[in-house]
Amino acid sequence: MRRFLSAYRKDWLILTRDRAGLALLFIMPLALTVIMALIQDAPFKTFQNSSIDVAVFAPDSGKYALEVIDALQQVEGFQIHTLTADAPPSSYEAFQAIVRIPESYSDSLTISNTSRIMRLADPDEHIVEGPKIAVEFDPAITPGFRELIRAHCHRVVSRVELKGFVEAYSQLFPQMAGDVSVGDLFPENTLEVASEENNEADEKYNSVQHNVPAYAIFGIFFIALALSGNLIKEREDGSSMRLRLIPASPWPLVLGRIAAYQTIAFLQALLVFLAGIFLMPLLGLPALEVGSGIPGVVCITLASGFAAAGMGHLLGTVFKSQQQAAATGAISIIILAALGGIWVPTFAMPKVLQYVSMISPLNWSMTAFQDILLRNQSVIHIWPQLLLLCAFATACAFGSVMMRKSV
Amino acid sequence: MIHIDQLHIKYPGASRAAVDGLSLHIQQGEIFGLLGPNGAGKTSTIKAVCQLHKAQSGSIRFNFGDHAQSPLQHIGLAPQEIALYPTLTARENLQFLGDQYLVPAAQMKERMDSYLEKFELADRADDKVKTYSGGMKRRLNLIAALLHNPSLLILDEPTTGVDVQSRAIIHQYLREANGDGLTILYTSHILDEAERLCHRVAIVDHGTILDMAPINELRSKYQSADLEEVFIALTGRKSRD
Repeated sequence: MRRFLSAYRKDWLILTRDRAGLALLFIMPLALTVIMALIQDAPFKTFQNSSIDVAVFAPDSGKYALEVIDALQQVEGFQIHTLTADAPPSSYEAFQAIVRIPESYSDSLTISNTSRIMRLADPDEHIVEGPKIAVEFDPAITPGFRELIRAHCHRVVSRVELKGFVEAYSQLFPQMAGDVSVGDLFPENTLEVASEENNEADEKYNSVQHNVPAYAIFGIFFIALALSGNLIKEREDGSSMRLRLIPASPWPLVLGRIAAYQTIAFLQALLVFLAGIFLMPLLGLPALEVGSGIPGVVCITLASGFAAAGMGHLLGTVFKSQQQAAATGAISIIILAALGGIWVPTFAMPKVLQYVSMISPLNWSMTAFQDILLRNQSVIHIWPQLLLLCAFATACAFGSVMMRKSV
Repeated sequence: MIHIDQLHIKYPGASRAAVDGLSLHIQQGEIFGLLGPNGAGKTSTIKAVCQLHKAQSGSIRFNFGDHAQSPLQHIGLAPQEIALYPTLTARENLQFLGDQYLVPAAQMKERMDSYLEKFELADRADDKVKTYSGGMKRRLNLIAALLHNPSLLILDEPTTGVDVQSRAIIHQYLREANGDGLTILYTSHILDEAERLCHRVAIVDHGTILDMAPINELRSKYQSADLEEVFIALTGRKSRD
């Protein structure tokens, strides 16, 4: 224990006295977190708080046309602009979509519904086609937005058409229908969200909730570069030769060094998380919600720091020069980050990459953070990821000790 | 104390052996000089003694009179490089190394203070090593090799780049410590220093010992006024840099 503590103290002192290196280790992930959270704020809001400008051109002033307009105005996130005159879509650049309700929409809907009801009673009766509402999209909007607008319009129009059908039925058969409304027959909310937890997670998933853990992980793994650089420096200046001369197990030295860097990684992540909680709201972003996930966040941060330091130890052992280790280490961390879902969530990746991403330690960390911060899971639930991170760290440290280039 | 027999070291990819059948015997209490031009095989021999390099063949046997501990526990190495952490103070460097050797805590401070005093570093003990002069770093490098009380001190070019004062301090200590029974294996390019310090020297080149004897014997054998003439007579005038 004395050798471990002494090694820890030595590396802690070396690290904390390298002011420039330390500043880089803390400022880099903090700056990345803030910048990326700000940049990605809008895309993350796509299906949440965005305001979508929808123009409605309705030359029909009948009952059902007005109901369609009214229902569209009730859609959360839709800003409805009623047009008084028709115009080509290109002249409406301010709108993401234009809904065109035909001139005789209400009357045509009533006629169509009546014909359908009559067809129920008489198979020879001819069904009159119903009116069509057209939706045009601004070509510049993303497929995600397009699908969202389409889904809302479809729901609104279907509901109005169903109401028209029930009303036509009531008029034709008042003695059978009585005083029933469409709401009685077909309740509005037939789709239920599976659980409260998932519902909350949907609301939580924003730019801050993604980017804070993502760039905390990214910063943690950059510790590997600092560790490998210092390890190679020790080998170059001969200090590691002196250490190899000590007739004792190299493990206290290795673990002491790893623990010192792990502490720095933890403090680095703490700074990023505090920025998520306190700084982000000052920049107009939502605050990071950790809730009851603090034990989980602490465990993931420590396990990630362990994995990063283990990786740094191996890099410092395998490579002969600081330049080699820095270049290879930086590129491999960027690749592992890309695969790990730091920039783009893994579910949005092609299937093959989703499988490949499973080998990235950054993916294990990110998955664990998402389980804790979005899915409200407990520490027990993330044990596979914690185990993988610790196993990775142990394998790297073991590999470097076996190579015995440095201790 | 050390028996080296037919030591053979060849690095991967090298066209010839760094150490080629070197044999020598260092007795307890002597200062033994391993002298030779650059690339003669001195550092490779030292590294093999310290078990930092594996020899392809040959043997190195130690007799420290203590079979319970690893021979490395009895060896102190002051390498050619300043093997210290520049951003740590002298005291922090020594504390770390003492802890790694598990020097009893009670003796640690006493030893540290004593060595720092002897090597005239006490008043700068809490300064970072990077602020030291070359001579101060060399002296601290030597203390770091002594802190765990070795029986054999190995010095690889211990006075390279130091001023006259630092060299005098180092020489004085080495004589005193040798007087107290410390065995010293010493390599250097500075032949007048070797002449003043060593009881016996081996002159090596191309990984083999060209001659080995007490300095007086070598001088008479080669009818030379000093060790430098013996050295030139054995290794030639061709530069190895």
